Amino acid sequence: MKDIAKLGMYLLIVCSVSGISLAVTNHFTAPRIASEMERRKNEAMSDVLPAASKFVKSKTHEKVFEGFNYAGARVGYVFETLASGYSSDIEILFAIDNEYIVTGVKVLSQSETPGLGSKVSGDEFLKQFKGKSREKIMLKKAGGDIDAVTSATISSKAVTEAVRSRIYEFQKDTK
Amino acid sequence: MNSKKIQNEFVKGLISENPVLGLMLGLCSVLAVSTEVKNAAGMGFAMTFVLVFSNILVSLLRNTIPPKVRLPVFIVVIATFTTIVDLLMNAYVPEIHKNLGIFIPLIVVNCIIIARAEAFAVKNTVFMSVIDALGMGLGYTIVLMIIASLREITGNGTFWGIKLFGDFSPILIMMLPPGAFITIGLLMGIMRRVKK
Amino acid sequence: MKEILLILLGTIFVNNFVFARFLGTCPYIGVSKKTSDSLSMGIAVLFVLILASVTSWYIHYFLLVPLKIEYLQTIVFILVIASLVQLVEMFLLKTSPGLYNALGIYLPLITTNCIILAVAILNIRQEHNIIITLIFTLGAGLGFTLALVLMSAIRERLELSDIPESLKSEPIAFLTAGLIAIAFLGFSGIN
Repeated sequence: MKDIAKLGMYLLIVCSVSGISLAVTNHFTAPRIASEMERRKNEAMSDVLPAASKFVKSKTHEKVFEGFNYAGARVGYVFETLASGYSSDIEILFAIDNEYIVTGVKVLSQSETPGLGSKVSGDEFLKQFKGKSREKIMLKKAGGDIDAVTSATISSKAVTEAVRSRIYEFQKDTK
Repeated sequence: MNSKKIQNEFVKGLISENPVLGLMLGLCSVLAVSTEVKNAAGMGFAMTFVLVFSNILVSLLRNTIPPKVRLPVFIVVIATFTTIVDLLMNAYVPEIHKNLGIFIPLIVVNCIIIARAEAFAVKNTVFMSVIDALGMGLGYTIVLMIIASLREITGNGTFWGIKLFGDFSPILIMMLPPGAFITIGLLMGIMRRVKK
Repeated sequence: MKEILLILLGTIFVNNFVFARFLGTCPYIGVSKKTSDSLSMGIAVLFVLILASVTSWYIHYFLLVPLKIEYLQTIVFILVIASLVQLVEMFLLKTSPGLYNALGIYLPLITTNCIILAVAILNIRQEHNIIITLIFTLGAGLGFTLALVLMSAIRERLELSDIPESLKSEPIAFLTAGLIAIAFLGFSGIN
């Protein structure tokens, strides 16, 4: 019995020391980690909605941020959406202005085929979305204005559809 | 302490007892992280950090640890340093931290670290444990970087993110999982040949 | 129902934990020499996986989050896993010594199997609810068992063939894994 008590005691001491050192490390790193996340998020949103300087989470819609300029006027909306790609979920961040015209699209994460579907993260594909309204946001093969990435129709379609349907839903909701 | 012995302890982790190619430990992380040299370097550093500090602490405590609970003690020690390196990397090198993803917390189950604690640190002085850790850590990192270099150069045409060739058709399969398995299989075969 | 099937297909084939995610590779190489061993190991892992994932899920959401000590996740999870493996070992010893002997040294090895910790963490990171956690974990374990059994079936055959000395055993195991991985890549079009 005394044996087990000794073993337990020893483990307890080791765990306590461990717990304390982790709490200390966490205390010092947590603020940095939190502010870095905040910064990255704001940077990404500024990228897709350059006219805005401040972003506020929408109180009426989920996964939507409203962008405001210095004067306090709302200049557009930023959306986080997920597309079902060829081999992965594609995390997309995009923005529209008050007239529902796309101001920018950014891919936050994806695991599509490297060299093919992965090119949907690239500027060449994404810059096509800028300045277009919902009706034009379809692949050229379907009558729209977006050129798919060569040999990566599925990935391209996934992103295009995700953006378009999101705008459609939002437009329906707010008109 | 004769320096030849120290040298031997250090070098064994590089060739004769290379943790990855010889002892076949720590494979999961090597296969998963070796798509880009930059990430490989970050992983090698993180793993070596945990290995060195775990070895130090285990060695320091070696005469006090009751044998029956030595495995849980090792685990707590290794997990503590793994979490520390996780938090530090998230705070100071967030991009690499994000790329390494789940493999940073997985350092705690990297067989190399537990194996060295059990096979070496608990029976040797702190100084020698550090040497052992450095040798093993370096051996691991070198293999990781070789595989990452092969995969990034042939599969992506870049090295550390820098484009190397002009018009280059990458061998896609190298960047995908099969490429990892095949590369490591070949390297192991070569290592065996070399050791003969 | 459809969602369940999709998750299972995804974790067993499309994103097989061994051939696509590289998790569970260490024991994989050591154990996959005989098909019967592989099956036993696979089932043992599946069992521990489910216990561990469910337990750690509850601990995360009912202990770590309310107390704001999420940073202790790694250490708490691995301790849970180590304890569970101990418990399973003791339980098997008492109730089914035959099975205990069959699994032999593989049981303690399960603790350091990255797949267990990885699945526990992934369930949290991907924000699964408890039902999805169960299904995801089941798929992971089945996929792992599948990988192990496939490999050992091939390796048993390879034992009898003519292979250059330096490639024998482990190197050829990896090359084989690579080939199987290529085959599994074919699954990635399924959505």
